[in-house]
Amino acid sequence: MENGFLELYNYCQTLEPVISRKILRLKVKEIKGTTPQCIKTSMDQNTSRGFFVTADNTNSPFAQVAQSYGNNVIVLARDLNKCWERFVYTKELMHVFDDRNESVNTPKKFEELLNSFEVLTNDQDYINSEVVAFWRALSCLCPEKNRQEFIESYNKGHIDFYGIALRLRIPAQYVPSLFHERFLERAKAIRN
Amino acid sequence: MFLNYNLNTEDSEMNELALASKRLFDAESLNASNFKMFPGSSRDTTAEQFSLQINKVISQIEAGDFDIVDMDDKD
Repeated sequence: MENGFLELYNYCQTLEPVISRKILRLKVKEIKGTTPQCIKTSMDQNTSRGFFVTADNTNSPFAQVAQSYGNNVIVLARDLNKCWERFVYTKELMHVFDDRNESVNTPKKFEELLNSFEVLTNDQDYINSEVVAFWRALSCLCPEKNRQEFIESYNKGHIDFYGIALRLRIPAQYVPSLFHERFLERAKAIRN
Repeated sequence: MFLNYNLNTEDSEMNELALASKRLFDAESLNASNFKMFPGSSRDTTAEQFSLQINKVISQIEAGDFDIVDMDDKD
């Protein structure tokens, strides 16, 4: 099912790093008609760095934050540095493209989700959507032409992972994923 | 007169998950139709520990302890 992500992906391929969150947000709003509200609060970063919530009880105090934003809220840890804040926001933003099967909307799915972070694989769409969002975020923040350039420069010894992270303004620990032999396959899989 | 708390550790651990589930998914609470998260640096966080954090965050937001991020200004 076409859920709009392909349009965002193709748009990002026309951009040059550093791809701003403002641009991503505006494009998502154009595609989906709305974009999540984004807030920061205190959070133990050992445990979590952010959340995405669609709060449909519009009378709840939480949901009132999300009014006019399609009931969607992205919550970020208050003390993230810029690179982390960019990546966490972008990954959570990808969940606006979740369909119903990919949504965690019951206590049972919620418990499975929380337990899944220790498990490497899971067949459930609503668990896999977390992995999908990760690859989507990477593929939007690093256009394919730039990814190929980075790979070539790295293989020539002209740049290191930290240098690539700085060029993209993403956490350095995710740069190796750009080199994954199945990156395009995963990007294509999530685009289709 | 001392209050004798007789908390069963296992019960109290389970309470955080059950509480977070109710606060997220009950129709009278958030009635969330989707919840996703970005885990932290620890790789051995339990569901109860995640839930404790989620409960704290929900409480903070409901108490107004949050800052709206101006995305028009964000690179």
